Amino acid sequence: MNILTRWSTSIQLGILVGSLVLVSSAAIGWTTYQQLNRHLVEAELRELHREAELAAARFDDLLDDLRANARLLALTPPTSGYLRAVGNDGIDPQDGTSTASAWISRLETIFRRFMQENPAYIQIRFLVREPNGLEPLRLEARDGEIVRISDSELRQKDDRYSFHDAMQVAGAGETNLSRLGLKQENGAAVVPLVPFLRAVAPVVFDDGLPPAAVVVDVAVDTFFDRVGQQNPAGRMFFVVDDAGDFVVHRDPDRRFATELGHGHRLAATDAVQATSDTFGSVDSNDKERVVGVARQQHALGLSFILSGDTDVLYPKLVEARDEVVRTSFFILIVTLVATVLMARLFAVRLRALARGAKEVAAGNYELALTDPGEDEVGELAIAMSGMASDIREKIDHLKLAEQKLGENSHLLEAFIQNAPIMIFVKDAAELRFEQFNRAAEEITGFSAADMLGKNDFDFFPEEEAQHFTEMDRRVMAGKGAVVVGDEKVTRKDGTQRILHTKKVAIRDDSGKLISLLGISEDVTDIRHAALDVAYNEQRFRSIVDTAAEGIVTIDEHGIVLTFNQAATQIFGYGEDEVVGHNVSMLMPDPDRSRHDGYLANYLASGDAKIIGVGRDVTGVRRNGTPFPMRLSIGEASMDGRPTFTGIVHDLTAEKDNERRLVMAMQDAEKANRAKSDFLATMSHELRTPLNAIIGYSEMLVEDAEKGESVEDLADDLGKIRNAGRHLLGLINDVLDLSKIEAGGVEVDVTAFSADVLMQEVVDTIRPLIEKSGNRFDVEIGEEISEIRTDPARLRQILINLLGNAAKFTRDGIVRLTVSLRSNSAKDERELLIQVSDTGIGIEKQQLERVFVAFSQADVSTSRNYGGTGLGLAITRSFCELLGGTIKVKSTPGKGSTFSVVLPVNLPQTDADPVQTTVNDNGAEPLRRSGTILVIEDDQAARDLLVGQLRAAEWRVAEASSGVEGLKLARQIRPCAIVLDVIMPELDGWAVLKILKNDPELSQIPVVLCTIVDDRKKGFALGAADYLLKPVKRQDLVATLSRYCTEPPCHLLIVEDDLPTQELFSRAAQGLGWTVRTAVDGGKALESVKQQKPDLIMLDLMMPNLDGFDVVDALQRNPEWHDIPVVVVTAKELTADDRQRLNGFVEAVVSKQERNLDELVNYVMDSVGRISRDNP
Amino acid sequence: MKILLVEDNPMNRDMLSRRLLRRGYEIVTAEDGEEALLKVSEENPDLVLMDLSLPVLDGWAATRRIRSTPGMESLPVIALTAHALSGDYQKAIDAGCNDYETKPVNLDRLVTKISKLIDDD
Repeated sequence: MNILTRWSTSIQLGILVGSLVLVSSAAIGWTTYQQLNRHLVEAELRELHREAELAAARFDDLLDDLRANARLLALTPPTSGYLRAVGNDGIDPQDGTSTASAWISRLETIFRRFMQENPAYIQIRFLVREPNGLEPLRLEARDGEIVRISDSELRQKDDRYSFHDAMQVAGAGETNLSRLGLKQENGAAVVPLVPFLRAVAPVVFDDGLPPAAVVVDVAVDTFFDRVGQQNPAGRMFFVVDDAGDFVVHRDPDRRFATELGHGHRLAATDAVQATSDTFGSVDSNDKERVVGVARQQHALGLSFILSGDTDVLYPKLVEARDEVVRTSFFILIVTLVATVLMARLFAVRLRALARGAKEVAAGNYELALTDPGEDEVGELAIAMSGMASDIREKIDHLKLAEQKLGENSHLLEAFIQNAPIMIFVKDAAELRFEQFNRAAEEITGFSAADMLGKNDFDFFPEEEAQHFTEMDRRVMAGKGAVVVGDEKVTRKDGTQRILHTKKVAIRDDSGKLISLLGISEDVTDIRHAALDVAYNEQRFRSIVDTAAEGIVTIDEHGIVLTFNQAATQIFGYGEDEVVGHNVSMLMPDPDRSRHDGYLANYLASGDAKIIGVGRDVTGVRRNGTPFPMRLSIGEASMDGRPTFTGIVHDLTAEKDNERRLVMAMQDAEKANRAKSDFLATMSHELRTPLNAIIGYSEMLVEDAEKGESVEDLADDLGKIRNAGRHLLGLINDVLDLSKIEAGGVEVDVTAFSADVLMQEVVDTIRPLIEKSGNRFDVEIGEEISEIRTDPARLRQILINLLGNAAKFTRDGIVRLTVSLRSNSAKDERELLIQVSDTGIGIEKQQLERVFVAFSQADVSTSRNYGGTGLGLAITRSFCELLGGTIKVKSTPGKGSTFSVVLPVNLPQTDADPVQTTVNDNGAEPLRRSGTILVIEDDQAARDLLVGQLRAAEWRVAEASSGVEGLKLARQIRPCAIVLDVIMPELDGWAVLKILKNDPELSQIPVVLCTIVDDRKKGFALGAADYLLKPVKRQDLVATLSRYCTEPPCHLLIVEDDLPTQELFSRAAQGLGWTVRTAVDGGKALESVKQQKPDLIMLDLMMPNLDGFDVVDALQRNPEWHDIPVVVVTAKELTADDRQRLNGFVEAVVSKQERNLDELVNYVMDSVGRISRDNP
Repeated sequence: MKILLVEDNPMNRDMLSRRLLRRGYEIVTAEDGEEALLKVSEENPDLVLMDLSLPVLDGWAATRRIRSTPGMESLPVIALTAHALSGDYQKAIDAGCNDYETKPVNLDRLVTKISKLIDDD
């Protein structure tokens, strides 16, 4: 291209067009020549083929002639005549004259003529089938002569050609041809080779003549010559047999390869295929000359092959080639000339255009290019003219734009500088600041003058600068604007701001990075505000969630918006189950359907029916149970829409409390009323005997003043005493009852023989009943044996009921019936006690009240029958204490029946027997002296110990740690210390050591009370006793009794039964007491007279002066009345007995129900305690 | 001066009647409300000392009955009772008693009250 452009356009075009024409001509010429060549060869081949076919057809014609001639010879009359003659002894029977030899001679003549006419016929034979074969005639061409072979030669066996062989060629009666063979003599081929064909024509007769045949041999070379002679010059003619051997070849030596044993055979040549109509050479050696081969196969297996000569074809070809070349050259010349001429024409016009363009370039835009042509050049000229004027306009615009741009640039600069947002530009290569506007200066504190030309690292802390640069690089690596987001920036003054930055890489049109534009906004305040909001939100949320009240907000449609933690607990719904649903789901049915109406009404009218402070309404929990709640609703506007906040306070507990309070108040009122009633009654009941006492006393005073004799006064004095005793009994009963009602009475269940107890009660009460002239019938069932209940209570129940019956019955019958029965409902056995009498009976309306305190059936009963009106109330209380019931039936005037049913298998209690028994007997509770210190860190365990000890009437101090315990021990000097082992800080072992090492405290007995089973260690450290938790109450009390008991100096034991006396005496002495004894009351008083004892242990039933008398005597002597007395008796005390003893003895201990050892321990314990209280 | 003492408690009846006798009053006694009404009409006493807690017919009822008996409307009745709590006084006055004395009886005070009622008469 570069080389070409050196020459003018015309030359360029000339060369271009010339080359094109030359190449195309050459291509066309070559193609044409090739085509021509092919056509010539094809035509030649077609010709050759046609000629080969022609040759074959001619050869066939010759063979047909041969076959026809052979047949003609076979059917010639002499053949049949000869045969007839031979069969008729040498004479032809047809005419009767002709002999066989005559027929042969005729035949010879015929044969000879044929051979003369057809020089190719080289032999004709006449064969007859005889047993050994017979050849009557043979003519042969030898050296141009036709010779009849003599009979002698014919008989040479080796030259014999049998009839049989001949007929094989002939086939079924048809004339036929043999295959091509070579003439042989004496078994070898004759040289020069004579290829021949043999035609056999059978001679067949129907009249019984022997079969015969005429055999004609033909030298086929003659035939081939005749066929081949037709070929034009330059052709070559070949014949090949079916074995591929050449039969006809221009070189005779190459023929009959099989027979002659050389290799010249069509099959061996390499250029011809075995099919017809193929091209190629016959022989590779003949390649140059052979143009093509046509091959026609023949019935005899022969192929006729014709080959043409290239020498014949070439001249035609050369002529055609030369024609093509000449024509091409001519076209080339003409084209070149035309091209050059055209090119020159264009060049002129183009040059004109070029000149015009140069002028435009030079600034002459007024140019008008004129070109007459209407072709592309013409259009170009017009376009260029237009372009010139366009350019002129554009330039004008540009000038204007440039002017504007200048103005805009200033404006832009002003914008950038004054924009209220930080704008900066950095160069892309080194990220140095190129622009830094005023807002940027304000935000960062750095001036533009400082910044420009420098990068982040020159101003900002390393870490920040690193971040900025990193972000810059990232932005420049990507496309478009990038929101970098919040960045912390340290200002010049060191304070930090949060900037929200966006950056974009600026590129030129080619996409090359130029600079980086950044826009930042100071969002410090916004972010801090947002944080505040989030914090407030969180705080609000935590307040709402931790609020004790349920807080529910709803929108104006009643849809729940929020539902706090407390609300979920109140209603039982999860937050997600309620939020988004209508709040009415939290309301019971009537409210539920009304709620939307309220809401709509409020929104429409502002009627604040639903807005209220603290309305009590009903809510519904998830499980459907309604509950009272206090609901306060507040309204607030959220985003212009009204929302309502409900604060829900579950009132269930309050309501329950209220209800309980009301009930408690009612109970209290009832109790108060009962108390008032009781007090009123009490007041009445006390005043009545007091009235008598005071009244008689005043009378007696008056009498005494008058000096009345003592005898006259005794009656009234007795009345005063009786009234006083009544009063005392009343007070005791009231105290009993109040103690029962206060739950202060414990049941001491033990197993005992009920029948024995019954008998004792009967023995005790019998005198009282019989005193009033009554009969006492007792029926105690035989099945009554050991039962488990509180024997003391049971005894009291029996005595009360029997005493009652005795009181209200005169001259009648009191009956006690006791039996066991089984309660099928409770599946347990019960004791059934019935006390019936024939006394005054009880009015029907009074029956229900007989068991109520101070409600004796009739006010007058106490007047007539005495009693306090509390006995039955106490009895019923005891029955209930024992898990039983009491009922009464009565007919006024005829009698009453009280029935008590008690279970007999109460669970065993470990109640303190001391306390119950003492209380049984109506004596004042005993107070033990001394204080016991309990050191125990576990509150529950401490409470238990303290409770048990206090119940046993000890004063108790308690300490919750070892240190506190030691401190208390020094302060109060307890009589004993109960000490736990496992305690924090100072454990029991340590406390024990300190106690035992302190001379002031070492004497205080310490009882370890622990779950640690290490007695050895405890005793080794000086513990007085060791109790393993859990501690039984009796064990605790018994153990501490040993230490918190100070023995009196002197004990007087008054007991008539000597073994018992001995027992107590020894036990007391064992405890360190000085003991004196007396066998009856008189001896006792003598002993007291001799030396006042510190305590008296007194039996009641004694000879001479009994216990009661002793007590009376002691009380009468002012010196003696303060001696504490403990009564130890087997006697069941009657009410009278008790009244006689009450106030004068410290305790009454029953000898019953206890074995001796227990009794001794028990008595000693009681005696010990009493002695401490009476120092 | 005849006084009807209505008192069910024999000891108290015995004691009070003897003491009032010593003070020079003529004493008739009754053991219950019914008997009291009978004695009032039979003995025509100048004054009644009425215990309130009585069998058969109690003191309050008996007093009302006395008050509703023609000619007896102004018979002085002094309630004599062991019911000594606040309210009991009013109950007695409401029943028609002229005065009220609690047990144990202060005899001087009772005599003063008796004298006052009879003297006023």
